[in-house]
Amino acid sequence: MRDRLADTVVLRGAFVQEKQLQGFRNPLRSTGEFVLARGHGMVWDTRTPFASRVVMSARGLRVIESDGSVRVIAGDAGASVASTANALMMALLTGDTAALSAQFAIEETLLADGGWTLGLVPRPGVMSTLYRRIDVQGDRFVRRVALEDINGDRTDIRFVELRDAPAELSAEEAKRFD
Amino acid sequence: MIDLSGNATRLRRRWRWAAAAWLTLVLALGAHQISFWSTPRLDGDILALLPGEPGDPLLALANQRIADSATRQVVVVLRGANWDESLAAAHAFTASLDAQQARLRPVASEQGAAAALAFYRPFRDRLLTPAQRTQLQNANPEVLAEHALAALFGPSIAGAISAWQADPLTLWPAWWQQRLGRNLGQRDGMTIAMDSDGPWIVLPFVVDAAAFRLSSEAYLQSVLDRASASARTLAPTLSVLRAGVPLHAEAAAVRANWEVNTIGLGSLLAIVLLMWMVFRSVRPLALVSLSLAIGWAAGVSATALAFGNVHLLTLVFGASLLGVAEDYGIHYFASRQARDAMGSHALMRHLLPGLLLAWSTSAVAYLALGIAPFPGLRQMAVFSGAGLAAAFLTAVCWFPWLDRGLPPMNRFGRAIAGSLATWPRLRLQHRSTWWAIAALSVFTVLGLLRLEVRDDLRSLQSSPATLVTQQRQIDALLALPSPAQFYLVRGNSAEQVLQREERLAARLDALVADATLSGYRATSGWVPSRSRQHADAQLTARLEMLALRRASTAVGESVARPAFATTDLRVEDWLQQPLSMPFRPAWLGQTGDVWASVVMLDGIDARTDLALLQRQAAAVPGVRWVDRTADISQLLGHYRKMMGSLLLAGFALVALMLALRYRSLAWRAVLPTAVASLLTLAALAWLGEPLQLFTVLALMLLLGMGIDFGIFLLEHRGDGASWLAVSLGAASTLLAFGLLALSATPALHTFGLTLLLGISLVWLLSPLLRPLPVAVADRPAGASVPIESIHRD
Repeated sequence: MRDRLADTVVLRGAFVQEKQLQGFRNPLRSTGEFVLARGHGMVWDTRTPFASRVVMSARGLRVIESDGSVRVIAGDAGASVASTANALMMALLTGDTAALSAQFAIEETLLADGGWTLGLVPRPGVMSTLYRRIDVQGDRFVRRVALEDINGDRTDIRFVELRDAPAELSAEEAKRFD
Repeated sequence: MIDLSGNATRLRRRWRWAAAAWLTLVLALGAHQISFWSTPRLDGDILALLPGEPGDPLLALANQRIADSATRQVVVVLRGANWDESLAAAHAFTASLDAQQARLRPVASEQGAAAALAFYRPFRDRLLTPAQRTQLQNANPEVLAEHALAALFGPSIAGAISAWQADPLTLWPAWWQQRLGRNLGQRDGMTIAMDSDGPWIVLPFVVDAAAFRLSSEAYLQSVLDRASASARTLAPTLSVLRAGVPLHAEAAAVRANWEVNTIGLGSLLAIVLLMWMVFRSVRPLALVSLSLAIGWAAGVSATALAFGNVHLLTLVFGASLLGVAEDYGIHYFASRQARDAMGSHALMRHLLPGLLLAWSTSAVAYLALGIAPFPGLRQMAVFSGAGLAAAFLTAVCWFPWLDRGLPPMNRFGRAIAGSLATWPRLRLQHRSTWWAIAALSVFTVLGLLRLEVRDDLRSLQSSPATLVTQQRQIDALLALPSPAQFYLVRGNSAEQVLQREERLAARLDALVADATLSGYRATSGWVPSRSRQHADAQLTARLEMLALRRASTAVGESVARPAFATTDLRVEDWLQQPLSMPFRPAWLGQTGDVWASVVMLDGIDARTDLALLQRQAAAVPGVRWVDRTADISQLLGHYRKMMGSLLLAGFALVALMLALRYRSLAWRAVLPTAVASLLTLAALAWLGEPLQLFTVLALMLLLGMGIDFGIFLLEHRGDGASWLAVSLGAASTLLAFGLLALSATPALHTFGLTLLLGISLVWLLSPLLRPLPVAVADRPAGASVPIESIHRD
């Protein structure tokens, strides 16, 4: 599977996210764009139905609202949430099985069409307090991530229009991390 | 005068009773010693030496609670080259402690967190940080609702502590973060603390309750050292810091153990050596040692009975008592050597008035230590008083029975005894005398001008520098609250106390905002006042209902707000939670009609503007600013001045009494001690030692002991055999206090050094001022032999 996956430094694309939350009958569907850069972190731009930007970086986890106001979910020291979420999303989107296998038991399936799937079950530890399981599906890129939280919430993210060139952040993309 | 033959039998009978009675007491003492040392109640806490708050029982309670809460906590923080290394090192560290079966239990945090969340969840709607309250009051509700919806539809955040509909404005995480402390967090199941170089892993431990022992082994230190070494095999560049009262207490115990042994054994060796050189007989050695052992044991027992426990510093100070308590025995044997013909009982009866006077003057000097209301000094006073009494009684009651005579005085003894005759006298007609006086005056005046007064709490502290440095680093990193500076908040109900805390907190928030203060801890942070709970619950309900309505529209279904508690969050329920454990000491609860609490301050250091903090208290009714460090320094200063006046009064009184007996010769007895006191002060100043309460107390002891030199030289002019006894006593006293000067505790060091200098000077000066020998006819009848000369040195 590592052979099939492109070794990306910067990955950008669009997403369609569907959340199924406890207490909600209907799924919550949102769309937007993201940029992921190794060494920097990730910017998650939700465009519809409500705009917001989530920046995960070494500086923590920040939400930038549509009106420009910034809310720090986890600052430097609240490192927990930020670094856990950040590291996990980075590992999932880059298919970093080496990093994931420290915290998850991984079941890998290679498909005939060049695709693959990973089934991740948390090992005892921090991840087991957050997730029941995580499924990843991809080919050259990761195409889909499905997370099932410990409280029963599900998040299903499909990625489209993925591009790993150029391998550096454009000036505009880099600005989003600020 | 010495008419004994007729009464000898009666005298022996009476003595037998006294010896038997004392034996009974000594046996009781032995029994108490066995029970005491099998579970020794020793105290190494420096705060135990400080005075309580007689005027304010609530403040005393607050101090007690704060001191108790810290007695078993140890914190270790560590950091490797990177996070993975730190994590591996932390696991290796705890694994090593496990493998060593160390008496250190890690403080579990994970289940605790779940229980804490469950306890607070029904009250989430009324828990706001001050910043959130302001924000919610001023923000546009529609904007807040839109942000809430953005969060709902945005990426899921792993480990969210509540469902969206239970906290649509994401208020709760920031409230918890504020409770935990700004730079504290959780990562990979570890508590972390951030500084500019990254995260430290914080490992809190509780030391299993174990009796505090006087031990030469630093148990915790060696266990933690081994764990650090084991962690370093995985992270070679690992930094490990540790802090906690038990570590300081252990270091103090090890140090005190060393000091007790050094001073005790050193004094004992000196006494043994001197006595051997003079008496050349085992029995006096054994008997004097016996009186010292009984004296020391009596000191321990009396202190334990009077105070419930014995402080380590008392034991250290008590060890120096050996050098004083040996005098009774030595005096007895010195006179015995000179007056072998007189029976032992008759001799002791004859010596009794002199010994009693000697004992009572030194006992009074020692007991004067207890005038200042410092429990530590009072322990030392009781210890010394009881120890001297027991050594004295042992000598008086038993020595006549156990003594079997002595060989005659040898050459060494004769040499010392003869030295008095050749000792120079001060001759005012000599020019060199005036030069010497002028030089000493310059030395004294310049020294006294340099003398620096320091009434500092630190004079009682002796923790090793590395431990103090690490404690300071951890205090800063974890923003640990200061045990010495805090606010005491009073009210007529729990609600009023919480409201007053909140008013104070509002003022402190402003100081935190401009970085004058790094933080504070108030019970109202965990349990807001009822009125605030109601107001905040109303505020969040209004805004969150709007967000939920907007969400219902967006999702196309009715999204309900979960029900929150209909009752208030109460302090008494919070106190039942494991979560509140570290914070419970701050809630003093109800005492009579008064409710009270303590607001603790984080990260107080030398740069903190204490006056500004003090002013905050004045602005809120029922709030009192407490600065223990300043209070104690003030108290030390007050008693330094008071004891200083008493010292002068003591000199005046002694001068008056001596003038009545010796008339125009009295100055010869008073002047040596007075001059020695001044010279000692000057010498201390030249050595860079500050003037403090303990210096004055030491001078008080000097007056009690030193004046006897002068008295003796007036009373028994030219009497060499008594000079021998006094010189022997002085030599061992000097050595004991000289060894005490080695103590790592500044207060004891001061005692030792002051008395070492002072007694040496008195010993040198007194014979200089002695009068010329007078004709036998001038002496009191019958006192032509050394018997009369048995006085305390």
